[in-house]
Amino acid sequence: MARRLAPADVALLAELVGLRFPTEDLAPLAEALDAHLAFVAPLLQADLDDVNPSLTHDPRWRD
Amino acid sequence: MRERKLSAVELVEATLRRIDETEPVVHAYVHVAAQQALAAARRADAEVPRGPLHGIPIGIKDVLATRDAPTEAGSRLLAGFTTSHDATVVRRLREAGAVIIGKQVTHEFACGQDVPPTRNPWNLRHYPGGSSAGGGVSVAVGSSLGALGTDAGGSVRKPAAVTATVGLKPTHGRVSGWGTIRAASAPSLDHVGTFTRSVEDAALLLQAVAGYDPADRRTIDEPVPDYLADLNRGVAGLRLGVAPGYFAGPELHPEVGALVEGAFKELERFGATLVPVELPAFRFTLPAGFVILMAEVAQPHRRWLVERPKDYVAGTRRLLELGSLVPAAHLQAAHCARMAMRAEVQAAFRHARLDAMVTPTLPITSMALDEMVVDRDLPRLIPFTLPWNLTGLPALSVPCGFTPAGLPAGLQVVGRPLDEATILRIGHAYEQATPWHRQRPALAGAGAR
Repeated sequence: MARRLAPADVALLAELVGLRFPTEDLAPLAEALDAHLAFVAPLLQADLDDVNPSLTHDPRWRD
Repeated sequence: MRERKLSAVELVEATLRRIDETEPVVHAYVHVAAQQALAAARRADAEVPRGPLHGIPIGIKDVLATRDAPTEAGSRLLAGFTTSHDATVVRRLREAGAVIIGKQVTHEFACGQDVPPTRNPWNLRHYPGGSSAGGGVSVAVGSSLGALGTDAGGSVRKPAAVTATVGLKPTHGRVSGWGTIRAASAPSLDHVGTFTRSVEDAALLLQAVAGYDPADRRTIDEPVPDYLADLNRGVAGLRLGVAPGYFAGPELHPEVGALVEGAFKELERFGATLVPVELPAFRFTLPAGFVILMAEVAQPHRRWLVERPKDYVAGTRRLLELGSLVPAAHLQAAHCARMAMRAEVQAAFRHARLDAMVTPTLPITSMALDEMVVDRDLPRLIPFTLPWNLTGLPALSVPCGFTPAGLPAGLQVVGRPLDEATILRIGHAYEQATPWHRQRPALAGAGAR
């Protein structure tokens, strides 16, 4: 089972991206971030190595 | 109005009376611009009509800038915020002669929290859709004759589907988003769209607002066609893709599925051919869409999250905090998944020689507000609308019937890039043969209209 995020982990992550969240928010935020990362985990497991990221907004198709 | 049997002032006065009747019940507006609208109507009556929108009262989602009314994005953080300019789409509406009747409810920063609640006129206990909640509701009850909203994951088509109105999300770049509050927008997913009572009205509104805008680098410099020209050509001979592998999975409620299946059969009866296609990369829709959406909308909130966290609705703040912490690996993978989806749908259109695709707009219909948990239910609402924000393709929601409980459902028609004309044509053909778009909710205390 994957390690679950602790409030201190979230505080550190926030600090690394230049943010600071109220202390009382850290525990529920850790839980929500865990749930979010589990939800989007299939993206990291998918075989997308040969796909370039979408770097343009232009939706027109080019042959 | 062209024949001068009804003046713009009379129409605006009637709309203001309808707002007075319905607002205590549905709460679709945050600001009614009565005096400005009446002044604009008087000017319209003094002019030679400019076109079909001349003197028509239109509502504007409260994330689009208007020079004569506050733009607060549904948030205490922007209380009283005013601009000296109109969003490009608002300016274009005014130039077409339309009258801006007021600013309509948005969820806070378009982030999904229906606080304070707007009500669904088909059942006042039920969710009205969002984030452009006010637009769908006001058009449904007749407190505006059309409305502009924004749609980054379904925020126009979702309220349209649950209020039995017509919602159009054009191709990304077909309509300028300049003047949208940045803090309420995910720029690569966001589109300005329309709410109307009919597909023909959607074509008229799109005609007025579409086109290249040098102020918005996302817009595409291509000619805007006449959206009414082919509206009556019907669907005979068109090939319409269906993808049951994604759009008819277990999440599709049987009552909604039956209504949409009925709509498919109608289109076949009019001469369209349904063509099954496979879209396996669409399984990435929700994870990729949420990662991109959250990261893009969170970015401009960094300072407010630190300095004014308590001014947010709690659910909005949580979404933005999470969006601020999205790892780069996930974001990059999401952009790869998005590109895979684009390539796949392009291949499907080409190989199956499709003119459009048809899907349910939503897998479920509106749920009771007191049973709704936004974090849990938002992903259940948008799996069929969000793919077209990720791919940028134009998508139209038209009413396709009512469940036994009397709640509306929507049929979604999706087109090739910049081919709004074909999806409008398909939606119009369906609408002409069905009664759904003419049905009106009977509001207790306000009546139907």
